[in-house]
Amino acid sequence: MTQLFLRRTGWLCVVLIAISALTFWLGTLVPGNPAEMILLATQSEPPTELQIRAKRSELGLDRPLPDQYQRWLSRAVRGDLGVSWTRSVTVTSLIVERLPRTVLLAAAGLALSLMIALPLGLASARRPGSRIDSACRAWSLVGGSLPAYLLAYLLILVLAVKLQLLPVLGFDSPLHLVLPALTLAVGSAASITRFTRNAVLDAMSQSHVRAAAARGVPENAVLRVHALRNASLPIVTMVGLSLAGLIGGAFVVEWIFNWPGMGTLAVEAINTKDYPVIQAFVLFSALAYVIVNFAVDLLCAALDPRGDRARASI
Amino acid sequence: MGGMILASAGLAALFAPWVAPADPLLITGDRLQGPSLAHLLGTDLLGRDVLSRVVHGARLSLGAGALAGVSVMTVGVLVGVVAGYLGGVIDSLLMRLAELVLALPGMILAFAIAAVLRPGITAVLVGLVSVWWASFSRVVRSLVLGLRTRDYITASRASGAGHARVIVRHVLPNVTSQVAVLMTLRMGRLVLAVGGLSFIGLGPQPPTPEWGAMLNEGRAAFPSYPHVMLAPGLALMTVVLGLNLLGDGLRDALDPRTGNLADARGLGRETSRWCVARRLLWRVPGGQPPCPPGCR
Repeated sequence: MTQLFLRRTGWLCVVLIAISALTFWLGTLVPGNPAEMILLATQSEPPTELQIRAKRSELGLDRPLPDQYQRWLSRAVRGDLGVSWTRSVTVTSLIVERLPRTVLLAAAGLALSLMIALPLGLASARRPGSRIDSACRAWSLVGGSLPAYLLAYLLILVLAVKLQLLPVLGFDSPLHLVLPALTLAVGSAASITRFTRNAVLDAMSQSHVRAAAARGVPENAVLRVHALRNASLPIVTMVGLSLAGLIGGAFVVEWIFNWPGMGTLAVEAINTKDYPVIQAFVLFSALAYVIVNFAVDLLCAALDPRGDRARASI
Repeated sequence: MGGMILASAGLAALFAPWVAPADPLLITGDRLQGPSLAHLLGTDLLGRDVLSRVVHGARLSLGAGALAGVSVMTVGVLVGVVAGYLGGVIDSLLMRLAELVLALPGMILAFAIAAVLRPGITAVLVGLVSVWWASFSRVVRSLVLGLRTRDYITASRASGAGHARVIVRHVLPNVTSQVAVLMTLRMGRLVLAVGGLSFIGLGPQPPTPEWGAMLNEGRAAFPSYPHVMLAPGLALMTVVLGLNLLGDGLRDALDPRTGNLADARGLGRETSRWCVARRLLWRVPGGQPPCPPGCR
């Protein structure tokens, strides 16, 4: 167990370093002159050639890349991610302001999705081949074909416009959370349903479960005690992965609903070519994703009663 | 496999643009916004016929999806075969690289890469391919590893089949057919990803019709004139649904026992290969595959 933990942690460090390097490198690929952009943002008149050059050496942009990377990294670790080119506030302050909102949205989305998907998957698995089952599988299929950016607008059309139930843009009330969270939820619910169904079916088909059923243990008990316990591990894994997936994919939904989180920040930054912000967005999203996956990994390893040796790995 | 039927709808959408575009490409007609009249799907904000834009958009959206898919397969097969066949240091290196790419959030990475390049369909393609090759290469590699010990490989080497190149002629055909099946399953998501990146604005720019970009354009007209968004959106969804059904249908055809995963134990080759592939694609951490206990 400790060995696994150490190995995984080591790999985590490698990945983190790779993320930082990648983000930094992407930043250098940017067309355009960072010094010029910063000067344009901070002063009212267009900068002169001399000013640009001075700024460049101040920022260390004329030094070799590994040097620049090292400086960037040391500053980043201390929390200084630079200044936004369009907003003249530090990138860190923007992140601090927006990240919690994104996390809130992702968590709400996940919670809703679980509330929808788990019972459905369970019901579907209890009666395989029934109408509920077919309905759930059809729903899984459709859900997988429906992109979030379309679903969002369909939901808006139905819930906000026609029925006038929920507000759409912005952040003011808890009700504002519902539509974006619902959009996210439906997206991941489809795959969670399918996965839960398969996991429970698998668990139920194992011999000890069938033996229990044959012994006459009532169906509910069979389900709860024997099957679900075995199914819970892959389900937990799936939940963790879904959370990670939501972190990765939430930015489109955020932008659609104008939810003031990291996603909207990133898309605006794309349109205004504000690279420090884009860099920070990529950095943080990747970090969050990797950390969540890592946590799921560890959780998996801790929960699996069969121990290291029994776990097949590729 | 009634799914195959819907799938042909997907394929028809692919070929239609070349055969019969409903109307000329971009009529910058005078009418600003009109529901279904002489223009079957109405006109958009600038007076262009939505139907013909949707039809032409199919070329770009689906074409890009297909191109992306082929590229992912090519890169994946290349890397996978090299890694699986050569083994050793190259194998470890390539697989570490793949794992690294897989460890990062896909959409974010694709987004970042596409953001750095000039907006257009190439940016989207490059971004997506750089992310998606990784899981494919892992699948291919494991397939190659399985094939490496087969008799006909040993036989052909023994009969002096000089290079790796001649042997590649044995390995490649076996590998690509399996990979093609896997690709059809993922193609739906790939097309959605293309649409998604375009929707944000990283793809083809305004006059060019492409479903994701059209959705973006339609946002301005949205609540009052939903048809501008609904047309490309529903087109996208139907095609992806067709692709998914096709993929499912193909998989069912090759792996007869889908409904009841538990009985996969005795099926031997197809199932175990399939399970390996599926497990790899899922890249579930901790090695916990959504696979029945009988699977290796």
